[in-house]
Amino acid sequence: MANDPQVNVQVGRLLRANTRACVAGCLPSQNFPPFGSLVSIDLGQEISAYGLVSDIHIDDDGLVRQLVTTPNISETVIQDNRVNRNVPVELSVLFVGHRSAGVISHRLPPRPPLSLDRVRACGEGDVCAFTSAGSLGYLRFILEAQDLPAADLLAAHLLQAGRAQRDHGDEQWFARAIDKVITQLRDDYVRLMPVLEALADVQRELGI
Amino acid sequence: MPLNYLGLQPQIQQYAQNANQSQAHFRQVLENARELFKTCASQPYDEIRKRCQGSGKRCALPLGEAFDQSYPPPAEHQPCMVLAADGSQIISSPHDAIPISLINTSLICMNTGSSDAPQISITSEILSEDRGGIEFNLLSEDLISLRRDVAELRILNDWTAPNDLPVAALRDGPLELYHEPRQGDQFEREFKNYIDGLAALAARDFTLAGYIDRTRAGLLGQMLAIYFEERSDGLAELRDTTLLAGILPAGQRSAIFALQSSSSDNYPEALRIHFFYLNVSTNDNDYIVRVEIPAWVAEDTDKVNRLHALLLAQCRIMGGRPYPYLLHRAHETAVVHFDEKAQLQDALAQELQRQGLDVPQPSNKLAAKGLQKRTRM
Repeated sequence: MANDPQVNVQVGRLLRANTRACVAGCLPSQNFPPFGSLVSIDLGQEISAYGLVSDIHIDDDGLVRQLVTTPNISETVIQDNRVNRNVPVELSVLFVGHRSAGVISHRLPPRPPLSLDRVRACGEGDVCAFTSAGSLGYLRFILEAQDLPAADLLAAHLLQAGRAQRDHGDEQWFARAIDKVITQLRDDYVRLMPVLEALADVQRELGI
Repeated sequence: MPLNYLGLQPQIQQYAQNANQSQAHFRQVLENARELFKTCASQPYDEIRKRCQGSGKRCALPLGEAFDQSYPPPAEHQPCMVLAADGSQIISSPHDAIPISLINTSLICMNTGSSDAPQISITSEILSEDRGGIEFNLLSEDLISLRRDVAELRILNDWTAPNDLPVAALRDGPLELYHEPRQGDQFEREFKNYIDGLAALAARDFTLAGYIDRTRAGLLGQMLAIYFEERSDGLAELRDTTLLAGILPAGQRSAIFALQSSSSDNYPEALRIHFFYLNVSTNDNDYIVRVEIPAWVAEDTDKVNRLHALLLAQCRIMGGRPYPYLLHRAHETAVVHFDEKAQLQDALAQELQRQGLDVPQPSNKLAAKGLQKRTRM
């Protein structure tokens, strides 16, 4: 993991958190991680929290609302609002596990991160390590999440993880993940169907 | 306690009735003023200036341009650097635990020929007394405002040009100091600093302008009232924006006038304040603002044209409520919010404590005002 060049890409800093989720702020001008991607936050004492980007929120204010009514906004004004003005992009992160003393666990982190802690995008190596550990137990956090588009979050995550696993030689990982999802939702047909529909799209994109 | 709406009801009706009556009188005055404005424009300008100067009253002085005409913006607008400076202040209150005065000045710089984000710089200064220590005594609001004006010119002068493009520097509000040089060494010293700041900007050949939104000035009306002494009823109270509405088409400026005021003689010739009116609207709803410029800008057609085009372009950015975008951004970055003042006072209290000094308490009145309001269970 330490050799993965993408693992150290800082994408933002923590604004607020609780034991299940957190919100990070980042500059609108930077490349922030896409919906469903895996991020990690160093909590100190060899503990890192893992989470999935579950929402991306871009706030407005009075000036932006006035500017959108203007035809032909110049690039300078757009850059001014993205770079200089204090309106961060807010990334909501759903915790799905943690790593303590090098051991990955699919349980919630022992404590939430603190204000201004760094949020980093996980590279492929980190994604493979996290999703291979244990028996995909972390998928329950996605399926049980309230007020989130669970089917789409799961699909976005499985697309990222499926690609990483395939590129690292595990062609069967995606199938195992689908089996796990079906097992978890076998008594809930109403929720299972839209999830399977979303996953069918992922399967096509992965070419499996 | 809420307002006594029952008691206010008749006063609201009376207010509207008074407004209605004054509108009727006002329409007559306006009609007369527009006729006199046209007549006046055909008179010899030397004679108008002579009479106005003889009166000693605050008014407009016509220069070379025909003042019953309007002037369109230039067809082309060359790239330039635009600077906007704005300042805000914390005014010390005797009720505060630590009464401090602070000036916060911001400068925002945009290259109109580039797509890069504008550059911003902010200078915060706790006002100090003569011998260099922090000022614990209360400073007058006028003096702080004067120091803020000086600080705005200083931040413009401190800016280093990254290229050879012409530079336009905008400020919010008039260039003429309405705090004026009052009695006392401090006022005189700050006024001199202000004049020095203007002179330094003139030396750098900046196109300096003060943008006055919703001006209440009646400088043209006063000029007419002086010239047509016998027909001057109500003219001196007439706002220039009202007089020019319907005369000044959207996007066009008025003629340039010199400003005659009680403080005019305090400004050296090259720095004397001039002004023009500009209709920044893009439709039939006139929105006329006053733009103050110093003599070195007023006498340079290229600079006036650049300023004219630039102000319109800046106002267009803000859409349906035209106002120069950069001036708004300068204000946004300069303004000191209440919680920031509280944070600064906390930091000062901690430092005083760290250095073994007593931290005074806020007044009982302020403490009572800060009590939490009753809330729901």
